[in-house]
Amino acid sequence: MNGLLASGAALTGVTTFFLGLIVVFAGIAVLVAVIYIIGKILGRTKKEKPKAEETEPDDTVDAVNAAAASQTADGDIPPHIRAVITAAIYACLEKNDDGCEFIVRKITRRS
Amino acid sequence: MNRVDLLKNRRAALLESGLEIRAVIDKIIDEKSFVELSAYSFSESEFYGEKAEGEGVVTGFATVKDFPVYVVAQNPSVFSGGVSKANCDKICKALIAAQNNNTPVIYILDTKGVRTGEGVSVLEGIADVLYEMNELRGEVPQFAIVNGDCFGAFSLIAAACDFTFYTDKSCLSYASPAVIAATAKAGTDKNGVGGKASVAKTGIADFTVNDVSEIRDKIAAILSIVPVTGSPFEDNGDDYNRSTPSLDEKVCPDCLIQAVFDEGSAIEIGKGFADDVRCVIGRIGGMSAGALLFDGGEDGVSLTGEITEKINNFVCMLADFSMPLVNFVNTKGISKDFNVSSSTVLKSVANLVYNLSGLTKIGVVYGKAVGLGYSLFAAKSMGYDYSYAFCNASISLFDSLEGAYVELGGVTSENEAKLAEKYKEENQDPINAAKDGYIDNIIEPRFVRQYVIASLQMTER
Repeated sequence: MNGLLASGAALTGVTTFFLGLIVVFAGIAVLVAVIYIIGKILGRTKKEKPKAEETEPDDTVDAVNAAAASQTADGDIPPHIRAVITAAIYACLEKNDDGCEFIVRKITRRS
Repeated sequence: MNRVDLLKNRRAALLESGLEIRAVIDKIIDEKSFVELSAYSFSESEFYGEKAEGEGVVTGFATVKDFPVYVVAQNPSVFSGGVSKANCDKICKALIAAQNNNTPVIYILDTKGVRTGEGVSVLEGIADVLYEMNELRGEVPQFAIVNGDCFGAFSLIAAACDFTFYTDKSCLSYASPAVIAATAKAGTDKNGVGGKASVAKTGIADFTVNDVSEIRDKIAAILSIVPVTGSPFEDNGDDYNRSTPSLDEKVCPDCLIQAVFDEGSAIEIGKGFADDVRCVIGRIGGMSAGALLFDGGEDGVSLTGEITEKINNFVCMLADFSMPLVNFVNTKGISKDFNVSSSTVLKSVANLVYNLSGLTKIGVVYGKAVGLGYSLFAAKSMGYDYSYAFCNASISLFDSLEGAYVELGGVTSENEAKLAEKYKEENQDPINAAKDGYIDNIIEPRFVRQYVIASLQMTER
């Protein structure tokens, strides 16, 4: 009788052990899945925003915006800072454009 | 017959005597704008014993596209347009009126020469006309239209005018082809003596047209550009900052005319004669200006007597009307050819130096400025207000091959191309002249318009 009782208790312990393992790992898997899905959703919405802001057809601006957008997906450049950086880079590129170094203006003539 | 009817009859007779020439005048002037002067100055030709109604010349004033002008038109219907003393007196009256009113003159020339039988009187008359023409020089533009034959002393009128037009019918020569044939005891080709075919040799014709009616627009365009009759400045809306990127790849006189002059304003003068140099007037940034453009391709232009004469005439005309000159330089200086060396080229170049003085001028070296070509057409020491060079231009004492022989030495037929290239690289870069302060700036060809306009604006003040 005692031997039977002892073997029954051992069986219950093993079952509990395996059940515990399954429950813990299943919980972890669900948690990973939830985090992954949330991450995906957040990433998609933040990538869509810069596309909506793009108004300049210029290639250089596209490139700068795309770079800025990828930064934001990783996390942390606010839109107004991004706009300032874009403007600064664009102004710099403008200076290097092959325009004449001066502008001819209409002059005031003596009467 | 009452006075009005008498006048009508007289007027009808007068008009009848000049139907042909009046039709030519009508093609040039604005409709019904002609007011005739000295209309009834009749005299009787003692030699021919005939009346010369209107004295073989029609004079008066009119408008050409609203620009007032005086008109002197020889009437070939009266004694073949023969020049008489009375004829010259009538012309002088018109010229004095033009001078008093500061108004341009259009001469329509059609004469077989002087009327014989008047002796020295007609020579005095001719001298009087040439004197009065000279008084008008630089005051107002004078236009000559060689409408038919123009022989004898009056051919000088065509040569003395600022702008001369040839038509298909034109034949201009001091001696008529008949006299030349008699002297040469051989037949002569009228077209070759003084017709359109002679333009390339004489350089007298500034414009060659198919019909007189084409002249009207050209005269009006010139009058609008020349400051004494038009406006020194007229904004025509062409962008001052228009650049021409194609100039970075290829530069030619036509490309430069399009790049620098305001759209549609350029008028080329003297086409057909010494075409290695192009003379153009027009508006640059709204300002009246003339440009001298050297063609010559990669070799550059070598100056000859004819080329220098063409430049001299153009420069004198610009000086007369206080118009600035812009040179687009591509020249190696005086030709080293035997025929040129033994011609009057040196005297012509010396005169050019004189004619260039006092003129507002800008030099732009776009090709070669070698030897005297640099001194004459771009050197600041020659009085150029501003001098520029394209980044791919060449400025040096010698042309590359010549320089290789003179300065490098050891040149053989095998290595001459290589050494010429070496000389070019070491000596012809315009940066050398710029470093010494002789060239104001080295520019990208595409921005030539901006540099020329900005410089003209400064000289204008």
